[in-house]
Amino acid sequence: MAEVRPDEISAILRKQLAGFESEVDIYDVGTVLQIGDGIARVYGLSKVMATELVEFPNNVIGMVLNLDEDSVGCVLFGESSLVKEGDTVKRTKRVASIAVGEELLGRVVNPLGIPIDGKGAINTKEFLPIERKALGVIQRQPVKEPLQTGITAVDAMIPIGRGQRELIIGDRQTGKTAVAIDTIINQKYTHTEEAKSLGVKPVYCIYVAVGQKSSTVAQVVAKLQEQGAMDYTTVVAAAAWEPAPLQYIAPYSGATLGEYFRDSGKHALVIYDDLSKQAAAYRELSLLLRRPPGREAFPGDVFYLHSRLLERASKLSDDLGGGSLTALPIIETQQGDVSAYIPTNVISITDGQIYLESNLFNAGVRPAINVGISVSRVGGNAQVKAMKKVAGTLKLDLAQYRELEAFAKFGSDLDQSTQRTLAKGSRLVELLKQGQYSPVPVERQIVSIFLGTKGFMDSVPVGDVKRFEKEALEFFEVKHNDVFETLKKEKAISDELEGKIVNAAEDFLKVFKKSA
Amino acid sequence: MNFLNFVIEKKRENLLHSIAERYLELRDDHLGIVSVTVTTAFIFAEDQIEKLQKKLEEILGKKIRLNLLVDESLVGGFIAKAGDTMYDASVRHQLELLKKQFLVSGFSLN
Repeated sequence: MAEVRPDEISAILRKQLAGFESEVDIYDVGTVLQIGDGIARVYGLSKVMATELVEFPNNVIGMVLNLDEDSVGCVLFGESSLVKEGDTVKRTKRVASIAVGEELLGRVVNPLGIPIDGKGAINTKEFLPIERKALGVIQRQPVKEPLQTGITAVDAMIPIGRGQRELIIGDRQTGKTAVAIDTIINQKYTHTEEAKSLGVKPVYCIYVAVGQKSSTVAQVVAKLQEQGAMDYTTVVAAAAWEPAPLQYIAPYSGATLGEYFRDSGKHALVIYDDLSKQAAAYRELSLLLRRPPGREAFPGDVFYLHSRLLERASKLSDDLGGGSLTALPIIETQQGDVSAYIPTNVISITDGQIYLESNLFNAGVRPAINVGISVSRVGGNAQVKAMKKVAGTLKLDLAQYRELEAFAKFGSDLDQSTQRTLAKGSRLVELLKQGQYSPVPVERQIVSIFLGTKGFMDSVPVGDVKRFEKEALEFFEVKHNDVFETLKKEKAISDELEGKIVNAAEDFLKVFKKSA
Repeated sequence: MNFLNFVIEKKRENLLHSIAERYLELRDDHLGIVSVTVTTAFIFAEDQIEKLQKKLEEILGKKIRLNLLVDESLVGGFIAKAGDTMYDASVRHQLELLKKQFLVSGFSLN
């Protein structure tokens, strides 16, 4: 250790003090009347704004939520035991805001933008309020570019466009987060040189974790890091142990981070995991603020809570740079009850939903998407043409399969055409199964669905379908790589290309060995 | 007297205190007088107080009524409180700000 010299210390002190000016400091104050359960009633603060941040002693920050006749209701973002009755509260004259910018990529922050990953301070230039008004009609345009999730079932039948809001809904342990994480991982492709040359713009991701275990958040971050997805991702975390107000504002902070990219003409994807917990946090603080409870004890404005958040997802008009903010909210249902208050609200706000079911999950269909009731109301316009073509028949085949599924147990008693439909359906279901963290590029999805819907797999045993798909894609890659290249460039299947795929598939079928 | 009788008749005697307070507030408002509480670290001399009053009247653009308090924990300087706004020129506050700045910028001996 170096020797410490007094003159050095005084030099440093002098340097630190150089910029310090002593002036009369003017600030507005109030007095704490009542404190408890993370809520403070404050007298004074007469000019305070709604959602303004206020400063309590011991560096506790609060946010003003209720402006009453003779007191102000604040929620605390810190320990309420550090604040006493009679303490002085200072205004900051700043509405709740968060630092934004590309510097935040690769970082884990709390909803106030303070890093919690131990990697030091973040040097950002810009601050934006966390509550911002959603854009109006003029500033928007319909979604037109696809956001590839890398999950074949989603990209084919429930396509998501950039700027869309697609709800992921399901019971606990049905793989909701997995769908979201896979989508983030799949955006890695959009940051490559190849994507740039094909005109695919990069998508920046924001993962908002609300009310989850810190260990779960750490797992997600580790997984994203392992997959190289943290380079373009920010994680906003308000874990379960954190005060309800922080959990309540976390999604808005995430939306603000995403809006920064959107407004600078880039594309962003925000995942809110999950909004049921955020609603519960909001219910907690609304009840503490003595707002009247309504259905399921949620306050009257719980619809507005989610609608104003999800309305911020948008596709900007070309005049404004054409950026987009896609939202993937997640809702956890209890025993598949989608008619509860929060699920119905969010279903009605979003542009479609992906239903995940536990019985499908347990039957080994993973991702456990129920394609019958999952929809995407606007994504179809954004879908790649070639995918649209092959997915049309896929949807029909699966619908017919589901209709006849109940008769499957009669086996050979059924007539020929029914048996054919059942055989094809069961193979398609098998084809749509996909492992976690293994997103598939869209051109490969198209070829494998093409093979499935055109009946090339009908002679393959169901157990061999996944192996058939894998080997077929390898075969195409080695011998007919031009198929993938053309699909990437032209994004459509011409008659010529179709002939080529059919020929190649026939060749492959001859060499494919069925397992005994 | 009439007013007092009226209040008693309506059985609102318990409100007399707030009525008086509100009356004083309204009168001050009307006359353009602001009540300012000044806390100092030690007792100010007459001429110092006069100077302070002038300066404060200049800043606020209104006549003021001074209430003087003494609090030794301020170390030096004064705090003037007009309504909810504080004009803080105390040494204690300066030291607090200094501490904050040190904590933010941090020390390094290299």
